[in-house]
Amino acid sequence: METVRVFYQKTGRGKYISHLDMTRCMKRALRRAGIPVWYTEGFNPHVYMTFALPISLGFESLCETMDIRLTQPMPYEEIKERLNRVLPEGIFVTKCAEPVKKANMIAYSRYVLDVRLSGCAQSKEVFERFFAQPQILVMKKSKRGEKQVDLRPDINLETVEESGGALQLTVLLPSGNEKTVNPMLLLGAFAEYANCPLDRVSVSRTAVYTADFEPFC
Amino acid sequence: MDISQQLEQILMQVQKPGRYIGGEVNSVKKDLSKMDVKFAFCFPDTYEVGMSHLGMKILYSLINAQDNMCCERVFAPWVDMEEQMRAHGIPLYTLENLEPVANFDIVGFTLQYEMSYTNVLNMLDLAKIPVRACERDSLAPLVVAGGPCACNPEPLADFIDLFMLGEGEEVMLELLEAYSVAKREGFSKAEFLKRAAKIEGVYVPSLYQVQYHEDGTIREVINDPEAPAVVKKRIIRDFDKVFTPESFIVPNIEVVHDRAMVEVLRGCIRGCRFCQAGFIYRPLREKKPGTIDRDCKSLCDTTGYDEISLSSLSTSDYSKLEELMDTLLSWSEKGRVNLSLPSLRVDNFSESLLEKIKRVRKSGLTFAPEAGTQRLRDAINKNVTEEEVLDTALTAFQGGYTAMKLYFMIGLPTETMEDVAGIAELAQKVVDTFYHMPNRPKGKGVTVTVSASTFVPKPFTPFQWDAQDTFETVLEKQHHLVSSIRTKKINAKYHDMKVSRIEAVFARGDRRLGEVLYRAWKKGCKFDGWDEYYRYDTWVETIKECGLDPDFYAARVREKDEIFPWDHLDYAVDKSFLWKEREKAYASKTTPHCRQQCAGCGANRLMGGPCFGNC
Repeated sequence: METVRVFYQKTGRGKYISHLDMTRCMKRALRRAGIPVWYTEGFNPHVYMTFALPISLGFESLCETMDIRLTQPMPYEEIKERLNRVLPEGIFVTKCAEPVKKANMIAYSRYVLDVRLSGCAQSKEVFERFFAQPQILVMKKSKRGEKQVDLRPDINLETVEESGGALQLTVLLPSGNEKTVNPMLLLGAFAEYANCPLDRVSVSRTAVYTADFEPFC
Repeated sequence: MDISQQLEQILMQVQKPGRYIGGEVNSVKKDLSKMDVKFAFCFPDTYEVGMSHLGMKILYSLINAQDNMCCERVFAPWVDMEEQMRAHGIPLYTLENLEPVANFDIVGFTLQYEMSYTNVLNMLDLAKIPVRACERDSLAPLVVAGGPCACNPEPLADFIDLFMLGEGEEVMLELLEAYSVAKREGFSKAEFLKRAAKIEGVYVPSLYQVQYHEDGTIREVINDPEAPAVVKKRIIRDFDKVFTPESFIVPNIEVVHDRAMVEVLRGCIRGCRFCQAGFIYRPLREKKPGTIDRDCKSLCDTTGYDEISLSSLSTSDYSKLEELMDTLLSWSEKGRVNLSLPSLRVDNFSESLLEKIKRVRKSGLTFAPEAGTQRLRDAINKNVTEEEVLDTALTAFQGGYTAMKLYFMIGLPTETMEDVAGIAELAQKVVDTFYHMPNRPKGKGVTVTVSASTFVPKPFTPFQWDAQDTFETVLEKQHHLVSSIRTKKINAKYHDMKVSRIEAVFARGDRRLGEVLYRAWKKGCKFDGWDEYYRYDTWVETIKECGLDPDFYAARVREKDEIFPWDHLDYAVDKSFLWKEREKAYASKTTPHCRQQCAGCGANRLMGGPCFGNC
């Protein structure tokens, strides 16, 4: 049985679909598209779908993936076209391909963060001062309670730009089985440092990589 | 900043943001600047509740099928979202174009439940539209309403410009066409309303004057010469040819009824005397199996749903149910589509029907005997015997079911404590039926859930003259029910009388309640159907503050010839017929269902002849 990896984007209105809702949404889209998907066997059969590292509610992503299995062959291009005809606004398939890497190999995500702090002039300079600190301590919540961690060593800052009062950051953060850093932790710490509340934030994941910085495919 | 940018700021601060942003598959987004008539369809409850409602889906598709008209959806934002919207000055907006509701020509509400009335006011206010009809001078936005509660819309008469009575599929387009002409010709609102009042099924409350006796009952309702003395409800005569949507919007978030729904029939043959739906949707009309089959297929293809609900007031009364099930099962099983039959009766539930349901659904079964003793079931004309209940239970248990839900009502006219204890006894007999089965599954128990709601007398039923039980009596009866249950196999639930009392006030209320509604809303009442926001004490206090008495509306036996607030609305069932049915109830006499014998309710006039050819 052939496994197909569907690469898709989740943007605009689509970013408000939670992961749980996304599985239901994809199941229905696959049915509408008439794709010959394989159902699990057993007492309660359901469409086989696995998602590698699904993006959080409210974040955009250009690099989501979903693996499905086919009971009959169908060209990748056709799967893509059929799905794009029936997906809700904001969900868009970019390509379908044979899976190469396993989902548990994902180790890093690149994010583009668009931030507005209310009442903060020269946010670029403030951010640079913030980032120049030797340590960035934040409280991280986990199942075992809260603990203080230093974010600084995990942040790989690629670019910082400012335009029209908004700060645009490109960062590479750990995300995977070993360790995950939510970009909101970084932005929360920055807002606290600048002593200005976050006004509008948009988070977009633009790429995912394995531990040796190979693109996940 | 436009609404979409403002939403970016607040949506991550609220629960389930997906319900405030639209973008679902099959939603229709038209260019608003090119529309002759823009209709905002408002459901006065949450997205999850409203998106489960079939009527909204039908009218949405119907209006959007017209090139020059559009229909966009609006739901009541949950309290956290409302707070954010008010704080950021975001007006109530539609989900398709994120357009302020106030920019639409017509704002339409569906009235499904009395306890959603404060949400109607709150949504108008959130839309920045004056809530009182007399404060809105211009033709747009016109505020209209329909749905089952429109059969007694008087408590909302101060707020709504016009009501559509009965089924909306035809009258809606006639109204929108008339509106389109009025808009083009530059009619004033008053001119338009007078013209609209001439459309059959349209009730313009401002064209009727209500005068009261000193005791608060109605002396007279005087109609404007331009408006009919009595407004008749609309029906679709040829139900097989009624407009049916080819597709539904598929919600991105989970909603209450997240499945395809296809109506198999409208109306009901039964005439249960407490049931408003059983009278106001008369006469019975069925769709052909082929039509239903076509609708089911098309909905599954366009939505991707894997469950179809065959809906109606009583689906097992569909005359060709087994034939229909066979047709549907011929493709649904292969396509992994489940069928569900939500409204089954115990008196026509056969083994072969069970076999067909079982092939697709293995959840629990629900039946509604409504009353615990034969005498009371006869009085309410439920026409179900204990033997039938137990036979059905046996059939179901033998078919592998181990859970059953039974619906009852407490507070029905003529009910005694023996009738209440009878509920527990009947449930006990259902439990015993399970354990007396020689071949019952080993190691498995049975669960019988008894759900006892509180009876609310409703307009257009034989019990429209009757009093709701007093508060104390209902509490006593609920207690008696619980103490009559002697096993843990039976799980009893009942409704909060505090809700049923206010529901009863509004169900048979008059125009004077408009002030109550307004003041209670001003004091913060909204989402009254949701326990966490319901404020009974505020309601009682407000009713008294307005010089009114809840008992006058809810707990008073009305005179035979009293003029009711809804008497100038004609739902096709004669008042004299309802009175005769009431007399039979007090004599515990049943009335055969419409297929057995025509009872002469009057609804066949709408068909221009007998309903079944046996009158």
